[in-house]
Amino acid sequence: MAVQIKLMSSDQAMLVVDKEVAERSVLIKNMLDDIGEVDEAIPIPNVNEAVLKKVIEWCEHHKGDSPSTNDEESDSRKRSTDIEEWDQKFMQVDQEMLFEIILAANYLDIKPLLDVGCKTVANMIKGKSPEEIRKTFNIQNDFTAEEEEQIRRENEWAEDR
Amino acid sequence: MDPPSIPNAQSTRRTQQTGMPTSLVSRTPTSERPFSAMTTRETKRKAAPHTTVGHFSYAPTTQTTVVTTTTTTTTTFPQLVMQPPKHLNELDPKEYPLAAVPTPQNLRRFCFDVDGKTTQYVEEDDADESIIRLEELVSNLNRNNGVIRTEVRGKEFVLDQSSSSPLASALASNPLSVLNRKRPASPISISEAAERVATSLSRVQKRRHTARSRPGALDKPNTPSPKKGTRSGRNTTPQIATNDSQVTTMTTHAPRPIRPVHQQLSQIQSTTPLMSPQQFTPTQIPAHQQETPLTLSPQLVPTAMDDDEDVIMTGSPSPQDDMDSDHTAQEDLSLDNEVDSDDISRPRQAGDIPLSLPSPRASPVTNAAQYNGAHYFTTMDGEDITSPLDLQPNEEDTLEDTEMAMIRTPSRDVASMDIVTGHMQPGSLMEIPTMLDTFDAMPASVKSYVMYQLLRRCSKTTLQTVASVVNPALMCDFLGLLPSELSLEIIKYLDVKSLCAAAQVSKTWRLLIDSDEWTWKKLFDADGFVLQDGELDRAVREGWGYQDPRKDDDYEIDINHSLALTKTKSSTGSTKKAKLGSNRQLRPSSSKQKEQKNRETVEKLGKAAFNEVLSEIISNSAGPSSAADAAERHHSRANLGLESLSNLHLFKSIYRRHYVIRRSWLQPDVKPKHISFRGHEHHVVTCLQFDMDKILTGSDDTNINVYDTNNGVLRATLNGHEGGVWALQYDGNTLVSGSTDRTVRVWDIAKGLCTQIFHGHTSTVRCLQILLPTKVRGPDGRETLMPKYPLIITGSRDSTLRVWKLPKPTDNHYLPEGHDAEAFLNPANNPYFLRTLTGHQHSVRAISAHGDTLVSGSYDHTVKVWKISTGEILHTLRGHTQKVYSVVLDHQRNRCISGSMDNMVKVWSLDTGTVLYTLEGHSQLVGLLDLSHDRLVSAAADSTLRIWDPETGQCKHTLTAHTGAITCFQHDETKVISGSDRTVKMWNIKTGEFVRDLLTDLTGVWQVKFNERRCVAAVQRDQVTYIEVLDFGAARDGVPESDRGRRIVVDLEGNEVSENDLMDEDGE
Repeated sequence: MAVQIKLMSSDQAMLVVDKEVAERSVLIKNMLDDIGEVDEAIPIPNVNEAVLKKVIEWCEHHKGDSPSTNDEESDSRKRSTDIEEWDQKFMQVDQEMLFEIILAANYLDIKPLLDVGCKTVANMIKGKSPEEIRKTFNIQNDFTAEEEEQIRRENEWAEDR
Repeated sequence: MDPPSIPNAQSTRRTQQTGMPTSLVSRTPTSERPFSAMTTRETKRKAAPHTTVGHFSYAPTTQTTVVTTTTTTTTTFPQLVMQPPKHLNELDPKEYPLAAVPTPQNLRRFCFDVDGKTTQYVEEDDADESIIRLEELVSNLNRNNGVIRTEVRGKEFVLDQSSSSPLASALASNPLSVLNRKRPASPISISEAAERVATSLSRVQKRRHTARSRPGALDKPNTPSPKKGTRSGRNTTPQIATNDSQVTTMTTHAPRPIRPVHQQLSQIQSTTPLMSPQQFTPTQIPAHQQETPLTLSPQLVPTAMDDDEDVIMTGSPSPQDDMDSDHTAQEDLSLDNEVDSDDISRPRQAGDIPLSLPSPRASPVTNAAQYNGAHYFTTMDGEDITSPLDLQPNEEDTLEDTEMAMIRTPSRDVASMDIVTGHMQPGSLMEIPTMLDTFDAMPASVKSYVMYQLLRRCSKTTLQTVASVVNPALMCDFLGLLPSELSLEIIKYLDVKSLCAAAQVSKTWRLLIDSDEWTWKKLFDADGFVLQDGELDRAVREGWGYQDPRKDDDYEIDINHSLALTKTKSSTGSTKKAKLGSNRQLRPSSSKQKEQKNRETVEKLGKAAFNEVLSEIISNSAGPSSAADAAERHHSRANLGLESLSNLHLFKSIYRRHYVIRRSWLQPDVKPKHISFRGHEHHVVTCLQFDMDKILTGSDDTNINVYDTNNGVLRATLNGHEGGVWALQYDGNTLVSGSTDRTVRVWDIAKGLCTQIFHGHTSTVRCLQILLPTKVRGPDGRETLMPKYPLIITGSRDSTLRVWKLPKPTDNHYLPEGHDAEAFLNPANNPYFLRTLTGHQHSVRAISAHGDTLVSGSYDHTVKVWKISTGEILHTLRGHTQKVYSVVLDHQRNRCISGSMDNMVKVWSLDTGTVLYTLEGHSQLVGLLDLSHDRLVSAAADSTLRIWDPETGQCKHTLTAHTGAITCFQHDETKVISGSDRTVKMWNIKTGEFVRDLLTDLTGVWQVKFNERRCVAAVQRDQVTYIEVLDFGAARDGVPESDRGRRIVVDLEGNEVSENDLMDEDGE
C-alpha cells in the first residue's frame, strides 16, 4: 500500500495524496525527510485547493518520471519550448490558473512543472507582434507615441527582412 | 385588501392540490387562455426558448437539506433535478452555443456552506431517467388523483422525514427555521411574522396574492398594493420569509421532481414588486407548464396543477398555484414547497397523500431570491418544511400554507413572464438591484452554477459581450505580475525575434527583457556567436549598452567621444533615458529601486561618474586568457554591474551587433572590407586557421606564417620544419604542426618560438588534432572529463597514429636535436609521448576525435575506431572500396561518417560498427567532410558539394556552380563557403542557392575559413599566393563605405599598395 499523506490547502481543503506523488515537490519531500511520518495534514499555505488539485494531477501523471537530467546547458541551448502532449493539454487552462500553477510549482519546488508552465507562457508570446502580445495578456500599452516609435526602431533589427 | 386576498388564498389551496396530480400541462394553457392573460402567454412562450437553456437535476436524494441565508440567497438541499426545458431544443445551437451543452463536470456537483452548514448540489447524470420517474409519478397521480396520492404521500412523508432530520436540524439552527416551524404550528404567528416583514415581503406576498387571484379573477386581483394589504391581513404565511436578511432553509422531499433552472432565474426577475399581476399568473403558468411538462418531470406536476385549475374553475382546489409554481422556477419551488405543505396538510386531513408531487416542486432549492424572492423562498421553504413535518398534525397550518402558496403563485407567474417573454417589465427592471443582491449572497459554487445556467440562455451576441469582458479579466500579465526571477524563467525560452517584440509591449516588459543580461548572453552563446577578445571591454568602455544603432550599416560608437563631441546628442539621449528610468519604477522586482537609484546616480553625476562606473565594470571584467573563459567570467560579473545600471542592455547590444553582422553576409548591399596580402610566395598553403586576432598559414615551403587579422601585417614566420607543413592546429597561444619531416612541433605563437619537437613518426605527419577535455557520459551515466588532459593526436603516412600530451605554455622546452639518434629512435624518452595506435595497413589520411573516441580514415580503405585512453581498436569499419580521405565523428549520435575515393559517403554506427547509410551522389573522390550545425556537408572532386541531413542521410541540396574539384569549404547554420579552381563561392545552406562569389579571378584556392565576421582564404592569383580577408563586420566598426567593397592590397607592414608595387618588390 502506498503511503499517503495529507495536504491542507490555503483555503483549508484537505487533500490526500500518495507520498510518492507529493514528493514530486522538493519542498514537501524535504519536509517529509526532515520530520518523518506525519499524521497531520501538511499545510500548503500559498496554494488554494483548485490549484493544489491541479498540481497534484500533474504530479500523479509524472510520478514515474525519472529524475530530470537537468542538463540546463543543453536545454537552454536548444531553447526548445516543446511540451509533451499530455502537459500541453494539462496546461490548457485560463491564464489565471496558469499563473497560479507557476507560482505553486515554484513554491513547491517542482522544477519540471515550473518549466512546463514557463514554456507554455513563452509559447503564448512567441511569434507575436507587440500588439498581439498585449491582446493576449490584456496589457496596457503605457508608452507614449514618441516612446513607442523609438522602441520600435530600437528593436526593428530583429524583424524579418 | 385582505378580504379579496383571503378568498384567493383559498382558491389557491385547491389549485395546489389539483396541481400536484397534474400531468396535463397542455390543458392548463387552454384553461388559462380564456383569461386576459392569453396574449401574454403567447409572448411568454416565444420568450421561453431563451429561458429554456438549463437542466438542473437535483439528485433525488432524500437526505439533502438546503439552508439559505441573507435576504438574497436561499439554498436548497433536497434532491432537485433540473431538467432542460423543451426550449432548449428549439434554440438554434448556432445562436445559443451553450444551450444544449451538458453541464460541465466541474459544475455538476459542488458543496458550499450555508451558515456553516455544508450544502451539496448534485446534478443528475441521467436526466431522462429521473424525468421518466417523475412522469410516472405524475401520470399515476393523474389517473388516480385520490388514491395514488395518498400512497405517494405516505412515501413522500417517509422521505420527508428521513430528509427532515437534516432539514430540521438546519432549520433549528436558523432563526427562520424557527419561524417556519412556528408557522406550521400556529398560523397566526406566521401572520404576525409576515406583518413584521410585511413591508419588504409585501411585494412578494402581493405577487402570491395575484397568483391566487388567478383562479377567480386571475390577473386583476394580483395587483401588488392590495395584495400587500391582503397579506398582512391574511394569515400571510409568506411573512415568515419576509425578513430582508432572513435565512431560508429548504428541506427537500426525497422524490421531488425536477425544476427548470430557468424558472429559478425568472423568479428572481419576477420578484420585482412592480410586476403586473395579471400578466404573470395566468399567462405564464400555462406556457411554462406546457413546455416544461414534456421535458421536465417537475413541471409536469404543475401542469397537473393547471388541470386542477380548470377544476378550480369548477370549484375544485385552485390549481393555479401549482401551475404558477411549475412555471416559475424559484417561485415555483417556493410555491411548490408551500403547495406541498398545503397538499400534505390537506392530504393528511383528507388522506390525500399525493402531495409527493408537490414535493418535487418544493425542491426548488436555489432560492437566490432577491428580497422578495428570498422572502418567498424563505417563507416557502419554511412552509414546505413545516408542512411535511409540522403541518401534518395541524390542519390549520395547511390552510395557511395554501394561502401562502396562493400568494406566491402570482409572484412566480410574474417572474416567469418576464423571463419567458423577454419583455422588460418595469417591475423586472426595478428588480435588477435585487437580483444582484441575491446573486451577491450566493456561495461561489452556486454563483458558478447560476452563471452557467444564465450563459446557456445567452445568444452568441451576448456571449461575445461576456467574453469580451471576461476573457481580458482572466488574462494575466505574467511578466508584469510574476516575481522577476520567474519572469526570467519565461523569457529564457524566447527567440530573438520574440524577445524584441516582447520588449515593445510595455515599460515593464521592456525593462525586464532588455536588462536581462543573462538571457541575452545565453542566447548569444546558443546562436553560436563568440565574443571577440576585448570586445566586451570595448563594449563596456564605449557604452554600447546605451546605444541602439538602427540600420544595418549603422554602428556602435564610443559614447565617450560622442559625449564630448556632440553635447546636444548626448543630452537628448540622457533625457530619454531619464524618462525610461522613471518608467522603470513600475517594475515589480525588488531590485527595482536599487537599479533606479543607481541609474539616477549615473544620470545625475553625468559623464565623469559614468565613466567611473564603466571603468569599474571594466576592471571587474578584466579578461582571462581564453576568450571563452573571459566571456563567461565577465558575464557573471557584468551581470552584477549591469543590474545596477538597469538602463544598460549590454548583451542585447552585443547580441544585436553580432546578429546584424551575421545577417549581412547574405545581403548584397553590405560590402565587406577586403584586404589582400602576399604569403608563401608561390607555394601551396596546406592549412589555415585564424581568429579575430591572427591568421596562421602552413605551407609546403616549410614555414608557418602569422598575420594580423585586422591589417594583414606579417607578425612572424615560424620556421624550423625541414619539410612541408601539412597539418597545424592551435589552441590559445600554443600551435602544433606536422610536417613531411616526420616531426610534430609545438610553438609559442606570440613569441614565434618552437618549444617542443616530437619525434616518433616514421613518415609524413598528415593530420593532427588537439583534443581538449570535454564532458563525456560514461556507460554508467556519469559524466567525466575525457581525456584527462589536453592531447595531441597525429596521423601519419607511416600508418600509425600517436597520442601525445599537449605541452603547457609553462612547460620547459623540449627540443631534441634532429639528429639525436636516441631521440629519434626511442621516442619513449619523450615525456609527452603516450602511445602509438597501430592497426592500419596504409597511410592515415584523416582523423576526428572527441572525448575518449578517435576515428581514423586510411588509405587501406578502412575506418578504425579507437579508445584513446587504452589504444584499443573498438571497430574496424569496412565497406569502402577505395582510400578513405575524410572522416567526421558524430559523437552526439555515436556515429561517424567517412568519405572515400570510391565516391561514397558512409555513415557508420559506432554502437555496432556497421554501416547505417551509404550516401550516394558524388561522382568522384569525396575529399572533404564537415559536420556542424546539424548539417553534414561533403565536397568532392566532381565540383559539387552536397548537404545532407546527418540524422537520416537524406540529401538536402546539391551545390553545383563550381567548375573544378572542391578544394576547401566551411559551413555554419546559414551558409556554405567553398573554394574551387577559380572562385570562392557562398551558398545559402538552407535553400542550397548560390548567393554570390566572394572571390573571383583566381588561379587556385588552397584554403578557405570563416568566422562570424571574416572570411579568410589562401588563394593563388597568377601563380602567386595571397591571403584574402573579407571583413563583413567592418561596417559595424564604422569603416566608411569608400573603404569597403574593393580589394585593398597591403604590404608586409599593412600599408595599402598597388599590386604592381608588390610585384616589383617581389622582383627585387
